[in-house]
Amino acid sequence: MAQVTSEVATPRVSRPLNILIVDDSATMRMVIRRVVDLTEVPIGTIYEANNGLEAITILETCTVHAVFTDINMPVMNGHQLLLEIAQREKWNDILRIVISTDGSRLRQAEVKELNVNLYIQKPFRPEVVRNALSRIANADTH
Amino acid sequence: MPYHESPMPTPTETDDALYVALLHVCERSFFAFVETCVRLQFAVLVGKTQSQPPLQDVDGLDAMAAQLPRWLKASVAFDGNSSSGAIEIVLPELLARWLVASLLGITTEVDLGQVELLDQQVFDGTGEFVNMVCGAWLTDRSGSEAFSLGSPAVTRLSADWSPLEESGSEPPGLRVSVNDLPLQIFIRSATA
Repeated sequence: MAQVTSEVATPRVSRPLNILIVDDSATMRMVIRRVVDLTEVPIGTIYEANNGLEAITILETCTVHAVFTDINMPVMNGHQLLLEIAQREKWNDILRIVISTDGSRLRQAEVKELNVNLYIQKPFRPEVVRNALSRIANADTH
Repeated sequence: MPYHESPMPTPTETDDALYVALLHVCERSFFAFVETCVRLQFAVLVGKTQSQPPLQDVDGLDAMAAQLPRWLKASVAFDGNSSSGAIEIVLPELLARWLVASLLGITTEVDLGQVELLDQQVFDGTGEFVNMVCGAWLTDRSGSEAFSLGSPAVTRLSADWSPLEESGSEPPGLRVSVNDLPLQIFIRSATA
């Protein structure tokens, strides 16, 4: 069960990073928030959303540099959210990181077409997320 | 509850993948130690969990167990091309609280009693636990095939419920010890 299962080219981002965490589990949002806080990357504001629809509302009103999203969620799932992001030019530079229990190759291939930067399968070790975020952010400054 | 490298499983072939998924999730995200359990060992662990000695006679985790004798049932439905059904996990509330606190990084063996977790956090975190186990199991099982998971459901079982008194007509599922506490996991298959 590979943790980092898919990665594509990383776009350049500005610092500090404003993060949006999208997961219907408050526990998982708290876990991801804690891991993000542990990175050496300067973090701006961390926003949270229960589902894709709430995430879009935040994206439309706030500046977000990176989105961490689950796939299986009620109301609007992660795939639908990524599709929305991919269709809007003004969101082209947003980093997209999927954190999902679904590690199937088909699911990974589906989201890879939506310019996902990283696909992380749950369960994950905290350092996997931390290192990925550091690598992505550092790609902007080095 | 110290963390060690868990031993590799020796259960039946049917339960093997489920055990590996459980072990993987427990070790990777919940920092918990998993062991297979024979029937007698499981009964002893259940007995310890359900005994309610006077609080002045116990301390540490035994005291916590006495205060939290109830069991939780967490389930999540899955749907794939070749099969659908649900995975159910039953575990003592004490273990659920430990796992959630561990996932959140807010506890050690020593200070569990001081950790204040809301019921909502325990239920949400336990739902995430069964969600991860199901996802890990399906990913290994399905390979390239995509699947979908429902929203996890977690309920507190009645005070007199015991895993040792389940209907004899149903298979007992996989019985394990997680951090020296009992946990039982079932697959409810809707289609083969």
